[in-house]
Amino acid sequence: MRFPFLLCVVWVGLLVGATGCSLSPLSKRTASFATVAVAATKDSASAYEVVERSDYDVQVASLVLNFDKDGFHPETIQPFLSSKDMEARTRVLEALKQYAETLAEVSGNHPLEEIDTEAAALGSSLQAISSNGDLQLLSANAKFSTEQAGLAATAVDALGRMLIEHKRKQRLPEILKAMKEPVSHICSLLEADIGDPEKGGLRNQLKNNYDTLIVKQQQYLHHYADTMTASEKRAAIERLPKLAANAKRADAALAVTQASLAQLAKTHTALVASAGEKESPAFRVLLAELIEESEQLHGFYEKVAAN
Amino acid sequence: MASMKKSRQTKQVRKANIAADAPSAWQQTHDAFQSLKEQLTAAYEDAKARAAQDSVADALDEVDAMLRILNQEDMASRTVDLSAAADETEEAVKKLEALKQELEGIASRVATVAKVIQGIDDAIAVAKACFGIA
Repeated sequence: MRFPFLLCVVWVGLLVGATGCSLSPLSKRTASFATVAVAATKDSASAYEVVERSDYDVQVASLVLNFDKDGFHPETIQPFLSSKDMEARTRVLEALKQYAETLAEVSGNHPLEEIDTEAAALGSSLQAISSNGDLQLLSANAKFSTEQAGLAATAVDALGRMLIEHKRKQRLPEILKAMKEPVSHICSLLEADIGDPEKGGLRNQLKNNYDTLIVKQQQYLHHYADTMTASEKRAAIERLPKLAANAKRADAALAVTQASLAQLAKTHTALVASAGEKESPAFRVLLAELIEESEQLHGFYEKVAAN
Repeated sequence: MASMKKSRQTKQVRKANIAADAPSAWQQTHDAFQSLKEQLTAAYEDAKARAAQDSVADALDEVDAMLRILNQEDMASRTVDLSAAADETEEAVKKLEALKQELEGIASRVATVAKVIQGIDDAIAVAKACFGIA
Protein backbone atom coordinates (compact mmCIF):
# COMPACT_ATOMS: atom_id res chain seq x y z
CA MET A 1 0.00 0.00 0.00
CA ARG A 2 2.93 2.31 0.76
CA PHE A 3 4.45 2.21 -2.73
CA PRO A 4 1.32 3.23 -4.74
CA PHE A 5 0.71 6.02 -2.25
CA LEU A 6 4.23 7.37 -2.82
CA LEU A 7 3.68 7.10 -6.56
CA CYS A 8 0.52 9.13 -6.15
CA VAL A 9 2.39 11.84 -4.27
CA VAL A 10 5.02 12.03 -7.03
CA TRP A 11 2.33 12.10 -9.76
CA VAL A 12 0.39 14.89 -8.04
CA GLY A 13 3.63 16.79 -7.49
CA LEU A 14 4.46 16.51 -11.18
CA LEU A 15 0.98 17.62 -12.22
CA VAL A 16 1.00 20.63 -9.90
CA GLY A 17 4.48 21.48 -11.09
CA ALA A 18 3.45 21.20 -14.73
CA THR A 19 0.35 23.35 -14.45
CA GLY A 20 1.73 25.85 -11.98
CA CYS A 21 -0.56 27.95 -9.87
CA SER A 22 -0.98 30.84 -12.24
CA LEU A 23 -2.24 31.65 -15.76
CA SER A 24 -0.13 31.17 -18.88
CA PRO A 25 1.56 34.36 -20.21
CA LEU A 26 -0.79 34.58 -23.22
CA SER A 27 -3.90 34.06 -21.07
CA LYS A 28 -2.69 36.79 -18.69
CA ARG A 29 -2.03 39.22 -21.54
CA THR A 30 -5.36 38.40 -23.21
CA ALA A 31 -7.26 38.96 -19.97
CA SER A 32 -5.60 42.38 -19.42
CA PHE A 33 -6.24 43.39 -23.02
CA ALA A 34 -9.89 42.30 -22.86
CA THR A 35 -10.66 44.44 -19.79
CA VAL A 36 -9.36 47.64 -21.44
CA ALA A 37 -10.96 46.75 -24.78
CA VAL A 38 -14.42 46.62 -23.16
CA ALA A 39 -13.89 50.17 -21.84
CA ALA A 40 -12.71 51.38 -25.27
CA THR A 41 -15.83 50.05 -27.01
CA LYS A 42 -18.08 51.75 -24.44
CA ASP A 43 -16.27 55.06 -25.03
CA SER A 44 -16.73 54.70 -28.77
CA ALA A 45 -20.49 54.26 -28.29
CA SER A 46 -20.48 57.45 -26.18
CA ALA A 47 -18.84 59.37 -29.03
CA TYR A 48 -21.89 58.77 -31.25
CA GLU A 49 -24.26 59.69 -28.40
CA VAL A 50 -22.49 63.02 -27.77
CA VAL A 51 -22.81 64.03 -31.42
CA GLU A 52 -26.44 62.89 -31.62
CA ARG A 53 -27.25 64.93 -28.50
CA SER A 54 -25.64 68.09 -29.88
CA ASP A 55 -27.44 67.55 -33.19
CA TYR A 56 -30.76 67.21 -31.36
CA ASP A 57 -30.00 70.39 -29.36
CA VAL A 58 -29.44 72.31 -32.63
CA GLN A 59 -32.82 71.16 -33.96
CA VAL A 60 -34.54 72.16 -30.74
CA ALA A 61 -32.80 75.58 -30.79
CA SER A 62 -34.09 76.09 -34.36
CA LEU A 63 -37.57 75.04 -33.30
CA VAL A 64 -37.54 77.56 -30.45
CA LEU A 65 -36.45 80.40 -32.75
CA ASN A 66 -38.84 79.53 -35.59
CA PHE A 67 -41.83 78.25 -33.63
CA ASP A 68 -43.94 81.43 -34.07
CA LYS A 69 -43.35 81.33 -37.83
CA ASP A 70 -43.31 77.58 -38.60
CA GLY A 71 -44.96 75.81 -35.65
CA PHE A 72 -43.92 72.29 -34.60
CA HIS A 73 -43.71 69.38 -37.03
CA PRO A 74 -42.41 66.25 -35.23
CA GLU A 75 -41.04 64.73 -38.45
CA THR A 76 -38.57 67.61 -38.81
CA ILE A 77 -36.63 66.38 -35.76
CA GLN A 78 -34.36 63.69 -37.21
CA PRO A 79 -31.32 61.89 -35.80
CA PHE A 80 -27.95 62.67 -37.38
CA LEU A 81 -27.36 59.03 -38.29
CA SER A 82 -30.08 57.05 -40.04
CA SER A 83 -31.32 53.97 -38.18
CA LYS A 84 -29.49 51.74 -40.68
CA ASP A 85 -26.16 53.53 -40.22
CA MET A 86 -26.52 53.66 -36.46
CA GLU A 87 -27.56 50.00 -36.28
CA ALA A 88 -24.38 48.92 -38.11
CA ARG A 89 -22.27 50.87 -35.61
CA THR A 90 -24.19 49.62 -32.58
CA ARG A 91 -23.82 46.07 -33.89
CA VAL A 92 -20.10 46.30 -34.52
CA LEU A 93 -19.44 47.92 -31.13
CA GLU A 94 -21.59 45.33 -29.37
CA ALA A 95 -19.78 42.52 -31.22
CA LEU A 96 -16.40 44.01 -30.32
CA LYS A 97 -17.47 44.37 -26.67
CA GLN A 98 -18.72 40.77 -26.62
CA TYR A 99 -15.48 39.60 -28.20
CA ALA A 100 -13.52 41.38 -25.46
CA GLU A 101 -15.83 40.18 -22.67
CA THR A 102 -15.77 36.56 -23.82
CA LEU A 103 -11.99 36.77 -24.24
CA ALA A 104 -11.78 37.96 -20.62
CA GLU A 105 -14.02 35.10 -19.44
CA VAL A 106 -12.10 32.47 -21.38
CA SER A 107 -8.59 33.70 -20.64
CA GLY A 108 -9.07 34.98 -17.09
CA ASN A 109 -9.02 33.22 -13.74
CA HIS A 110 -12.68 32.22 -13.78
CA PRO A 111 -12.36 28.75 -15.42
CA LEU A 112 -9.52 27.91 -13.00
CA GLU A 113 -11.50 29.15 -10.00
CA GLU A 114 -14.41 27.01 -11.11
CA ILE A 115 -12.23 23.91 -11.31
CA ASP A 116 -10.79 24.75 -7.85
CA THR A 117 -14.31 24.99 -6.40
CA GLU A 118 -15.44 21.74 -7.96
CA ALA A 119 -12.21 19.96 -6.95
CA ALA A 120 -12.72 21.19 -3.38
CA ALA A 121 -16.28 19.79 -3.47
CA LEU A 122 -14.87 16.51 -4.78
CA GLY A 123 -12.30 16.57 -1.95
CA SER A 124 -15.08 17.02 0.61
CA SER A 125 -17.06 14.13 -0.87
CA LEU A 126 -13.98 11.90 -0.86
CA GLN A 127 -13.13 12.89 2.72
CA ALA A 128 -16.71 12.11 3.76
CA ILE A 129 -16.62 8.68 2.15
CA SER A 130 -13.15 7.89 3.51
CA SER A 131 -14.27 8.64 7.04
CA ASN A 132 -17.51 6.71 6.59
CA GLY A 133 -17.10 3.75 8.95
CA ASP A 134 -20.12 2.05 7.36
CA LEU A 135 -18.19 1.58 4.11
CA GLN A 136 -15.69 -0.61 5.96
CA LEU A 137 -18.60 -2.53 7.50
CA LEU A 138 -19.98 -3.25 4.03
CA SER A 139 -16.63 -4.19 2.51
CA ALA A 140 -13.41 -4.92 4.33
CA ASN A 141 -11.36 -3.98 1.23
CA ALA A 142 -12.88 -0.54 0.87
CA LYS A 143 -10.19 1.36 2.70
CA PHE A 144 -9.50 4.91 1.71
CA SER A 145 -7.60 7.31 3.96
CA THR A 146 -8.44 11.03 4.27
CA GLU A 147 -4.85 11.69 3.18
CA GLN A 148 -5.47 9.80 -0.06
CA ALA A 149 -8.78 11.64 -0.53
CA GLY A 150 -7.02 15.00 -0.26
CA LEU A 151 -4.33 13.88 -2.66
CA ALA A 152 -6.87 12.65 -5.21
CA ALA A 153 -8.71 16.00 -5.07
CA THR A 154 -5.44 17.89 -5.57
CA ALA A 155 -4.60 15.65 -8.52
CA VAL A 156 -8.01 16.25 -10.12
CA ASP A 157 -7.61 19.98 -9.58
CA ALA A 158 -4.15 19.97 -11.17
CA LEU A 159 -5.34 17.82 -14.04
CA GLY A 160 -8.34 20.09 -14.65
CA ARG A 161 -6.11 23.15 -14.64
CA MET A 162 -3.74 21.45 -17.06
CA LEU A 163 -6.60 20.58 -19.40
CA ILE A 164 -7.92 24.15 -19.30
CA GLU A 165 -4.50 25.61 -20.05
CA HIS A 166 -3.95 23.07 -22.80
CA LYS A 167 -7.23 23.97 -24.49
CA ARG A 168 -6.50 27.68 -24.15
CA LYS A 169 -2.99 27.30 -25.57
CA GLN A 170 -4.36 25.30 -28.46
CA ARG A 171 -7.36 27.46 -29.38
CA LEU A 172 -6.80 31.05 -28.21
CA PRO A 173 -3.92 31.94 -30.58
CA GLU A 174 -5.95 30.73 -33.57
CA ILE A 175 -9.03 32.81 -32.59
CA LEU A 176 -6.90 35.88 -31.84
CA LYS A 177 -5.05 35.52 -35.14
CA ALA A 178 -8.32 35.27 -37.08
CA MET A 179 -9.45 38.52 -35.45
CA LYS A 180 -6.24 40.47 -36.15
CA GLU A 181 -7.46 41.94 -39.44
CA PRO A 182 -11.11 42.48 -38.46
CA VAL A 183 -10.15 44.33 -35.26
CA SER A 184 -7.70 46.57 -37.17
CA HIS A 185 -10.32 47.19 -39.84
CA ILE A 186 -13.07 48.00 -37.33
CA CYS A 187 -10.80 50.39 -35.46
CA SER A 188 -9.74 52.23 -38.61
CA LEU A 189 -13.38 52.52 -39.76
CA LEU A 190 -14.43 53.89 -36.39
CA GLU A 191 -11.45 56.26 -36.37
CA ALA A 192 -12.56 57.52 -39.78
CA ASP A 193 -16.09 57.93 -38.40
CA ILE A 194 -14.74 60.18 -35.65
CA GLY A 195 -12.92 62.15 -38.33
CA ASP A 196 -11.46 65.63 -37.97
CA PRO A 197 -12.92 68.92 -36.65
CA GLU A 198 -12.43 70.63 -40.02
CA LYS A 199 -12.41 67.79 -42.54
CA GLY A 200 -15.51 65.73 -41.71
CA GLY A 201 -16.90 62.96 -39.53
CA LEU A 202 -18.28 63.14 -35.99
CA ARG A 203 -15.77 65.74 -34.79
CA ASN A 204 -16.69 68.05 -37.66
CA GLN A 205 -20.41 67.58 -37.07
CA LEU A 206 -19.90 68.22 -33.36
CA LYS A 207 -17.92 71.42 -34.02
CA ASN A 208 -20.54 72.65 -36.50
CA ASN A 209 -23.34 71.81 -34.08
CA TYR A 210 -21.74 73.75 -31.23
CA ASP A 211 -20.92 76.72 -33.49
CA THR A 212 -24.56 76.72 -34.59
CA LEU A 213 -25.79 76.42 -31.01
CA ILE A 214 -23.72 79.49 -30.09
CA VAL A 215 -25.11 81.49 -33.03
CA LYS A 216 -28.66 80.41 -32.18
CA GLN A 217 -28.21 81.31 -28.53
CA GLN A 218 -27.04 84.80 -29.56
CA GLN A 219 -29.99 85.04 -31.96
CA TYR A 220 -32.34 84.11 -29.12
CA LEU A 221 -30.81 86.84 -26.98
CA HIS A 222 -31.12 89.42 -29.77
CA HIS A 223 -34.76 88.46 -30.35
CA TYR A 224 -35.97 88.24 -26.77
CA ALA A 225 -33.52 90.26 -24.62
CA ASP A 226 -36.04 93.11 -24.38
CA THR A 227 -38.69 90.88 -22.83
CA MET A 228 -36.32 89.10 -20.40
CA THR A 229 -35.82 89.87 -16.74
CA ALA A 230 -32.25 90.73 -15.68
CA SER A 231 -31.69 87.25 -14.24
CA GLU A 232 -33.14 85.51 -17.32
CA LYS A 233 -30.85 87.59 -19.53
CA ARG A 234 -27.90 86.77 -17.30
CA ALA A 235 -28.67 83.02 -17.50
CA ALA A 236 -29.02 83.18 -21.31
CA ILE A 237 -25.69 85.04 -21.64
CA GLU A 238 -23.98 82.66 -19.22
CA ARG A 239 -24.95 79.78 -21.48
CA LEU A 240 -22.64 81.10 -24.24
CA PRO A 241 -19.27 80.44 -22.52
CA LYS A 242 -20.70 77.15 -21.23
CA LEU A 243 -21.45 76.06 -24.80
CA ALA A 244 -17.95 77.06 -25.93
CA ALA A 245 -16.36 75.12 -23.04
CA ASN A 246 -18.55 72.10 -23.69
CA ALA A 247 -17.59 72.12 -27.37
CA LYS A 248 -13.91 71.94 -26.42
CA ARG A 249 -14.51 69.23 -23.82
CA ALA A 250 -16.60 67.08 -26.19
CA ASP A 251 -14.06 67.40 -29.01
CA ALA A 252 -11.25 66.44 -26.63
CA ALA A 253 -13.25 63.35 -25.61
CA LEU A 254 -13.73 62.37 -29.26
CA ALA A 255 -10.02 62.93 -29.97
CA VAL A 256 -9.00 60.68 -27.07
CA THR A 257 -11.52 58.03 -28.16
CA GLN A 258 -10.08 58.17 -31.66
CA ALA A 259 -6.54 57.76 -30.33
CA SER A 260 -7.60 54.90 -28.09
CA LEU A 261 -9.14 53.08 -31.08
CA ALA A 262 -5.82 53.31 -32.93
CA GLN A 263 -4.10 52.08 -29.79
CA LEU A 264 -6.62 49.23 -29.40
CA ALA A 265 -5.80 47.93 -32.89
CA LYS A 266 -2.04 48.16 -32.27
CA THR A 267 -2.35 46.42 -28.89
CA HIS A 268 -4.48 43.63 -30.35
CA THR A 269 -1.91 43.10 -33.12
CA ALA A 270 0.87 42.97 -30.51
CA LEU A 271 -1.19 40.48 -28.49
CA VAL A 272 -1.52 38.19 -31.51
CA ALA A 273 2.20 38.49 -32.26
CA SER A 274 3.07 37.61 -28.65
CA ALA A 275 1.23 34.23 -28.79
CA GLY A 276 4.34 32.07 -28.50
CA GLU A 277 6.32 34.40 -26.25
CA LYS A 278 6.78 34.26 -22.51
CA GLU A 279 7.48 37.97 -22.18
CA SER A 280 6.23 40.69 -24.50
CA PRO A 281 7.60 44.14 -23.62
CA ALA A 282 6.08 45.66 -26.79
CA PHE A 283 2.61 44.48 -25.78
CA ARG A 284 3.14 45.74 -22.21
CA VAL A 285 4.07 49.24 -23.40
CA LEU A 286 1.08 49.44 -25.79
CA LEU A 287 -1.30 48.14 -23.14
CA ALA A 288 -0.02 50.72 -20.63
CA GLU A 289 -0.69 53.48 -23.18
CA LEU A 290 -4.16 52.12 -23.87
CA ILE A 291 -4.92 52.04 -20.15
CA GLU A 292 -3.69 55.63 -19.81
CA GLU A 293 -5.98 56.79 -22.62
CA SER A 294 -8.89 54.87 -21.16
CA GLU A 295 -8.29 56.51 -17.76
CA GLN A 296 -8.14 59.96 -19.38
CA LEU A 297 -11.66 59.35 -20.69
CA HIS A 298 -12.97 58.20 -17.34
CA GLY A 299 -16.02 60.34 -16.59
CA PHE A 300 -15.29 62.64 -19.56
CA TYR A 301 -18.45 61.80 -21.47
CA GLU A 302 -20.54 61.98 -18.32
CA LYS A 303 -19.27 65.56 -17.73
CA VAL A 304 -20.16 66.52 -21.30
CA ALA A 305 -23.64 65.05 -20.87
CA ALA A 306 -24.14 66.86 -17.57
CA ASN A 307 -23.49 70.30 -19.10
CA MET B 1 -41.92 46.35 -53.34
CA ALA B 2 -38.79 44.25 -53.90
CA SER B 3 -37.75 46.41 -56.84
CA MET B 4 -38.28 49.58 -54.76
CA LYS B 5 -36.09 48.09 -52.02
CA LYS B 6 -33.46 47.14 -54.60
CA SER B 7 -33.52 50.60 -56.15
CA ARG B 8 -33.15 52.18 -52.68
CA GLN B 9 -30.22 49.86 -51.99
CA THR B 10 -28.65 50.74 -55.34
CA LYS B 11 -29.04 54.44 -54.55
CA GLN B 12 -27.44 53.90 -51.15
CA VAL B 13 -24.58 51.93 -52.66
CA ARG B 14 -24.13 54.66 -55.32
CA LYS B 15 -24.19 57.30 -52.59
CA ALA B 16 -21.63 55.33 -50.61
CA ASN B 17 -19.49 54.87 -53.71
CA ILE B 18 -19.47 58.59 -54.39
CA ALA B 19 -17.97 59.13 -50.96
CA ALA B 20 -15.62 56.15 -51.20
CA ASP B 21 -14.45 56.42 -54.82
CA ALA B 22 -14.15 60.15 -54.98
CA PRO B 23 -13.00 61.19 -51.53
CA SER B 24 -11.18 64.19 -52.95
CA ALA B 25 -14.34 65.47 -54.70
CA TRP B 26 -16.29 64.92 -51.51
CA GLN B 27 -13.55 66.59 -49.48
CA GLN B 28 -13.38 69.56 -51.83
CA THR B 29 -17.13 70.08 -51.58
CA HIS B 30 -17.00 69.73 -47.82
CA ASP B 31 -14.05 72.12 -47.52
CA ALA B 32 -15.86 74.71 -49.64
CA PHE B 33 -18.99 74.56 -47.47
CA GLN B 34 -16.93 74.51 -44.28
CA SER B 35 -15.07 77.62 -45.35
CA LEU B 36 -18.40 79.29 -46.22
CA LYS B 37 -19.71 78.42 -42.77
CA GLU B 38 -16.68 80.02 -41.07
CA GLN B 39 -17.14 83.15 -43.16
CA LEU B 40 -20.86 83.38 -42.42
CA THR B 41 -20.28 82.82 -38.70
CA ALA B 42 -17.76 85.68 -38.70
CA ALA B 43 -20.25 87.81 -40.66
CA TYR B 44 -22.96 87.08 -38.08
CA GLU B 45 -20.68 88.26 -35.30
CA ASP B 46 -19.80 91.43 -37.23
CA ALA B 47 -23.38 92.29 -38.21
CA LYS B 48 -24.93 94.99 -36.05
CA ALA B 49 -28.51 95.21 -37.35
CA ARG B 50 -30.92 92.46 -36.36
CA ALA B 51 -32.24 92.08 -39.93
CA ALA B 52 -28.71 91.54 -41.23
CA GLN B 53 -27.99 89.05 -38.46
CA ASP B 54 -31.17 87.12 -39.26
CA SER B 55 -30.42 86.89 -42.97
CA VAL B 56 -26.88 85.69 -42.26
CA ALA B 57 -28.33 83.15 -39.78
CA ASP B 58 -30.75 81.89 -42.46
CA ALA B 59 -27.86 81.41 -44.89
CA LEU B 60 -25.94 79.64 -42.13
CA ASP B 61 -28.87 77.24 -41.67
CA GLU B 62 -28.66 76.31 -45.36
CA VAL B 63 -24.90 75.74 -45.21
CA ASP B 64 -25.28 73.73 -41.99
CA ALA B 65 -27.88 71.52 -43.64
CA MET B 66 -25.53 70.87 -46.56
CA LEU B 67 -22.59 70.05 -44.28
CA ARG B 68 -24.82 67.74 -42.27
CA ILE B 69 -25.81 65.84 -45.44
CA LEU B 70 -22.17 65.59 -46.52
CA ASN B 71 -21.16 64.21 -43.13
CA GLN B 72 -24.09 61.77 -43.20
CA GLU B 73 -22.97 60.54 -46.64
CA ASP B 74 -19.43 60.11 -45.40
CA MET B 75 -20.64 58.05 -42.44
CA ALA B 76 -22.95 55.98 -44.69
CA SER B 77 -19.98 55.14 -46.96
CA ARG B 78 -18.53 52.98 -44.14
CA THR B 79 -21.75 51.24 -43.09
CA VAL B 80 -21.40 48.24 -45.43
CA ASP B 81 -17.82 47.59 -44.27
CA LEU B 82 -18.83 47.96 -40.63
CA SER B 83 -21.64 45.44 -41.06
CA ALA B 84 -19.24 42.95 -42.67
CA ALA B 85 -16.76 43.48 -39.82
CA ALA B 86 -19.57 42.91 -37.31
CA ASP B 87 -20.33 39.55 -39.01
CA GLU B 88 -16.68 38.48 -38.70
CA THR B 89 -16.53 39.52 -35.05
CA GLU B 90 -19.75 37.68 -34.24
CA GLU B 91 -18.20 34.56 -35.79
CA ALA B 92 -15.17 34.90 -33.51
CA VAL B 93 -17.47 35.39 -30.51
CA LYS B 94 -19.21 32.09 -31.41
CA LYS B 95 -15.84 30.31 -31.44
CA LEU B 96 -14.93 31.86 -28.09
CA GLU B 97 -18.31 30.84 -26.64
CA ALA B 98 -17.66 27.26 -27.78
CA LEU B 99 -14.23 27.31 -26.09
CA LYS B 100 -15.80 28.78 -22.95
CA GLN B 101 -18.32 25.93 -22.86
CA GLU B 102 -15.56 23.36 -23.27
CA LEU B 103 -13.68 24.90 -20.34
CA GLU B 104 -16.83 24.94 -18.24
CA GLY B 105 -17.38 21.30 -19.24
CA ILE B 106 -14.12 20.30 -17.51
CA ALA B 107 -15.30 21.79 -14.21
CA SER B 108 -18.76 20.32 -14.62
CA ARG B 109 -17.32 16.81 -15.12
CA VAL B 110 -15.46 17.15 -11.81
CA ALA B 111 -18.72 18.34 -10.24
CA THR B 112 -20.47 15.23 -11.57
CA VAL B 113 -17.81 12.95 -10.03
CA ALA B 114 -18.19 14.79 -6.69
CA LYS B 115 -21.96 14.27 -6.87
CA VAL B 116 -21.56 10.56 -7.68
CA ILE B 117 -19.28 10.08 -4.67
CA GLN B 118 -21.72 12.02 -2.52
CA GLY B 119 -24.41 9.67 -3.89
CA ILE B 120 -22.34 6.62 -2.89
CA ASP B 121 -21.99 8.04 0.61
CA ASP B 122 -25.77 8.48 0.80
CA ALA B 123 -26.38 5.01 -0.70
CA ILE B 124 -24.22 3.43 2.04
CA ALA B 125 -26.48 4.96 4.67
CA VAL B 126 -29.55 3.56 2.85
CA ALA B 127 -27.93 0.11 2.45
CA LYS B 128 -27.04 0.09 6.13
CA ALA B 129 -30.62 0.81 7.08
CA CYS B 130 -32.04 -1.76 4.58
CA PHE B 131 -29.81 -4.63 5.61
CA GLY B 132 -29.87 -3.76 9.27
CA ILE B 133 -26.11 -3.38 9.58
CA ALA B 134 -25.25 -2.15 13.07
